[in-house]
Amino acid sequence: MPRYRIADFLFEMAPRYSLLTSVCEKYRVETDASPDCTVRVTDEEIAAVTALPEGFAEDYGESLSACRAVCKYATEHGALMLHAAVIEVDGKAYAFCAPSGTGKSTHISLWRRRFGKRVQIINGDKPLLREKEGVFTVYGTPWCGKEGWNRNASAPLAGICIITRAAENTIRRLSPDAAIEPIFRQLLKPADAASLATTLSLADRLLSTVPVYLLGCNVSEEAAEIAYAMMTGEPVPPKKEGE
Amino acid sequence: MKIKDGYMQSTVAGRAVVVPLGHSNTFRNMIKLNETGKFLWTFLTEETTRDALVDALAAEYEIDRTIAERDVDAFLATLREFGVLAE
Repeated sequence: MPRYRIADFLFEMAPRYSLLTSVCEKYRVETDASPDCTVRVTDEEIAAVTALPEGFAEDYGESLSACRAVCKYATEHGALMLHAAVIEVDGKAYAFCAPSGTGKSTHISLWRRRFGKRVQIINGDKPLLREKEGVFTVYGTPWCGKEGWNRNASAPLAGICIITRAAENTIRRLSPDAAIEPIFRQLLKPADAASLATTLSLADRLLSTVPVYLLGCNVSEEAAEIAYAMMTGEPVPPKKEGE
Repeated sequence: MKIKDGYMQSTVAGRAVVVPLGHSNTFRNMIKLNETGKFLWTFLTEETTRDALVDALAAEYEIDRTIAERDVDAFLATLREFGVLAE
């Protein structure tokens, strides 16, 4: 059965539809190591997705069910699933959270436009976070939202930004206490008590080690500039021609 | 009265929080508790009454019963609003 390394976990799964095969292709590994988890998507799981009012097809049902199984395993084994768009700049990861439709994708597109190829997208929607020796690392996953933005990459998480829409661009750092609610809203909460307790203690360490910012922004490159200056702690570089 | 089953109380960033259990794959939110709220929540995990809560709060914080009543009623109203109280 094909094997996939996602967030440093080894999964084994045999996709039936080409959609799941193609979204996972970048994560496929050849190894004899025994898998951490075997993902088996059932007909019932696929049927539950295709029965939704959105009218999803079977191949999407399989991919979404596999995503849920991978996230379930990961969150039961010490990872966090943060609903966020994550970019990498100079080897560090920055996560952007917002309710769907608030403009995560739009905002990270502004970073790309303003700072060019220095900005690499890790994942547009569903990254996994793992803590090792006090450092949180973000991992890309095959599931990434409608834009299809994902790389099989990882980087240490240097900041999380909560995006809200505003007429003027402003950014400030939130206290860990003020960050609890907006971060919790974007975390996948496991169903069973033991895993939920693990998630809560990881969230506690996340809030004590990773700065969280509140960005009020409009759709302009200035929004990316003030976020860049605050989150990287570096002066905003001059614009380059052609980028 | 008593807190319904299915909630986990924990401490995150120095703050007592309550999160619902068993909502996998959803992004349900959480309840933040202040110090008084955390104290009352602990009592409410077992069957209790409003009067018992008022007595406990007044004793713990050495405050007048009228102030304790006001705090307990406000907290119970919040819990009812969130639908977490079984009465």
